Amino acid sequence: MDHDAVEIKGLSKHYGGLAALDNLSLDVKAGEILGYLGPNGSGKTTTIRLMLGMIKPTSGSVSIFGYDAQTQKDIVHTALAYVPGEANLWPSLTGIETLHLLSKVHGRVDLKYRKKLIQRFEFDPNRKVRTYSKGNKQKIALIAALASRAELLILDEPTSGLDPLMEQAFREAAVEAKNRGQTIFLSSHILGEVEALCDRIAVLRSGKLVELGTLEQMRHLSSLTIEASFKEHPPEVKHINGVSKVEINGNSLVCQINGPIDELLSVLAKAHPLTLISREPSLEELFLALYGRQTEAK
Amino acid sequence: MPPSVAQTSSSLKNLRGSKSAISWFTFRRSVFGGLLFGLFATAESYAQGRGIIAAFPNLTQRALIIHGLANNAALGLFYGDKTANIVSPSGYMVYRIMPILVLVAAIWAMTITTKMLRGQEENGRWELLLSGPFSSGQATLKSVLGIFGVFVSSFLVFGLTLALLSSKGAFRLTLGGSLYFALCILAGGIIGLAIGAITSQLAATRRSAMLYAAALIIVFFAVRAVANIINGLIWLKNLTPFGWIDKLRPFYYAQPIWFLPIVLFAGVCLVSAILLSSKRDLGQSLIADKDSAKPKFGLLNSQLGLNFRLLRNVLFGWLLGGVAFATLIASIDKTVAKTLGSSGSKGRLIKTFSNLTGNPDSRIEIAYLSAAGFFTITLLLIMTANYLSALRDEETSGRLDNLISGTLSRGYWLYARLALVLGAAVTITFITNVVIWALAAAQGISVSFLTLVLGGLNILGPLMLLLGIGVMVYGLVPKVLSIVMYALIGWSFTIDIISSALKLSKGFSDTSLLHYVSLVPAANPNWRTFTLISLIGLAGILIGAIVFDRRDLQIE
Ligand SMILES: Nc1ncnc2c1ncn2[C@@H]1O[C@H](COP(=O)(O)OP(=O)(O)OP(=O)(O)O)[C@@H](O)[C@H]1O
Ligand SMILES: [Mg+2]
Repeated sequence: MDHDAVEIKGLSKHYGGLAALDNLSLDVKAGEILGYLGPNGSGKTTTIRLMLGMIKPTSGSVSIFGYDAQTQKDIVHTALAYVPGEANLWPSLTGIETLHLLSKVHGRVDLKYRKKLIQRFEFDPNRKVRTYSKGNKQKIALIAALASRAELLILDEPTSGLDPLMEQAFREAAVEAKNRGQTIFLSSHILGEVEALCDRIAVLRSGKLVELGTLEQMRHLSSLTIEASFKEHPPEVKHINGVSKVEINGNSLVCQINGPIDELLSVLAKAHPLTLISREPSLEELFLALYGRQTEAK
Repeated sequence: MPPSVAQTSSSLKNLRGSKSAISWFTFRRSVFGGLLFGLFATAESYAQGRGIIAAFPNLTQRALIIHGLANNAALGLFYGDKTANIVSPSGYMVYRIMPILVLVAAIWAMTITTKMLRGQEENGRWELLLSGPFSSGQATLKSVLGIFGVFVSSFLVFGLTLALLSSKGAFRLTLGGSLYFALCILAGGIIGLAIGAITSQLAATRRSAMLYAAALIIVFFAVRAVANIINGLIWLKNLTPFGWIDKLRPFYYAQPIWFLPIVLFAGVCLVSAILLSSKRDLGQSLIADKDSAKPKFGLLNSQLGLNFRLLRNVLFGWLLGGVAFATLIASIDKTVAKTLGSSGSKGRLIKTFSNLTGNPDSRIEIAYLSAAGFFTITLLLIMTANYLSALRDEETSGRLDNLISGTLSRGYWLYARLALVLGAAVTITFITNVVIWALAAAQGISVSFLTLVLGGLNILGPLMLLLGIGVMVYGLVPKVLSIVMYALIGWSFTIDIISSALKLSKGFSDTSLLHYVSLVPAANPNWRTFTLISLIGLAGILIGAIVFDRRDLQIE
């Protein structure tokens, strides 16, 4: 395909004085899984509703497979399937009736695959929607979207409410979709899921894109944690370039270092450390740092 | 969670702090409707009292004609009973309007009660309330108190404005009398509240809670009607709350003792409702709904089919209501004609039924038959307002998202929905008119089938106008949709009733939707007006649909 799956250019959405989304530019390549992360209220759902043409942008544009998401909805929507963060369905229909209806709405369905998904998600489709738990309602929306085999899946926190086993089932299905060449735009709060599935990650904060890249790239951007213990009081390291968050606890020292590490190492080595550990940040730490900068800035 | 849900839940969470918070929350959500009802009741009541004086200024005239009314038992269906002091203007007002206002109050109260109790439980808000320091029973009690507060404001607005209006001029009421009258009407609200509270515990969904409550209210009202109409069954009045309310008899030998059974009835219902709600699990109901069903895909392949599937029960209910009304009116036509025909000034008397009955020179049974059309249009207008509110609910609940994220366009969805309500309106009008025609024929009253059944369709004109205005409001300011629709309907009826009593300037009566109705067979349909307002309505629909297609969808 010549076009990116999604091309977002200078997209903004203002509600009164609030910029729910501020000048976002972002491409999603065909066939990739993009993780879309950000704290609550950072604008993820707003982005998705703009992509689907449910709300109008204040400025900027979204195109999907080369077609404008606002003015060419009729074409765009034949190529995508959407799972909302909270499945709002018709209480009086049964599960299987809802799946049937949604397949008509998507315009296509792989019935064999849908059967497989129903089994995999251990979903009982004959009950009325009114009686389903939150997770079971979410399963309907997920199964319908996955069974449509749409080129682009737009998923807004699709696994909220699913138990760990079902989350696993979702991951399998997402990998299958990717292997078939489908593109997935995945908004999520579950870092394990993002780490396991996503080719690239975009991080949003207060409506602005703050990071975009692979997980590896992001790790390099951020700091290493160094822990060392000594026989006596640890040496002074605060003055060294790139060192931050120094914590001294008796004879042990924890600090973080951005950039070249040699100067710090030589200072530590001169003080004859008993132990010396360096580690990359965990995903959680990485995102806490990314999400947290905003609160610090405030 | 979408932002506004987050907002609602956080405002609900803030409520936990204070003890009366749930009551206050409930009160705020319904008080506007309560004030509107109060004003509506004032307008209708005053227009009746003032109207009879305008039509028959002197007492002997009134006595003669009204004697006929009182002796016609069949009218006791919707009007008061024979014991009413109809000759006095206040007595006439009570006779003509009290039972209907009481019925409206009961239905309105039942609607808000099931919404605040079962409705909130169904959409999950109740859980948020209960995460506060309240038990289920307490939350129910507090919601009931909130609704009670709405009644109090409604009562005050009604009683005081009526007293104020009638403190001068030809039609006079005392302050105490007005307040007592308002209290009698609001007793209907208390009955509706009590019934709604109980059925909210029995039924699993708000829809079925409303259905059960409506059925009970109709049965109680029907028992009252039977007691009024059939000789020797008057004692049946002791068995129904609507009978007790009749016996309160405002303005003329008032018997406030009958508040006792009303309070007892409400007390027993409410205490049981509170006990039931504290005993059962959240989301459970005494009458279980089927949890699973054999799938039926037939209607799910198209929008029209889906809408029909989702709304058929509701629409069928409206149809039944329409047919029931038509049957009641048409089947007593001959009796009414006999009674009224024997008294003079029949034209003016007919006019007091509605401004719309048309040509006063037409035969009296024809004129009275036409009144059925008045009920049909009333029903259709309310159905339409209701239907459009449900349309907005489909959007704000997020269910619409599932449809339009697929290949379906917003415009198509909207048009399919509108087509369904129009189709339903045509069907209801058609069937009720066929029923009326058949019943008239059975009584030996000859009416042209074509005039009645085809001409009767002219009431769809104002309906189109209402739809047009509704869809425009839905496109432009969806938040105020329900309020605008019901306010417009209330306004139309008020204007109609006032103008049946007093001469209003033409510009004024033009603002009533009912002004554009020709009630067949008494009046000939005015197809020019019909075409004109239908086109205006259509234009409104088109503009509204375009605006809707371009605006942001809203989620609550
Ligand atoms: N219709 C609206 N009116 C006013 N403000 C809105 C509206 N919709 C969204 N917002 C605001 O826009 C911001 C972004 O909301 P959005 O729902 O996109 O966040 P999100 O990243 O999806 O959050 P979450 O992780 O909680 O789902 C929030 O501050 C929200 O309050
Ligand atoms: Mg969101």
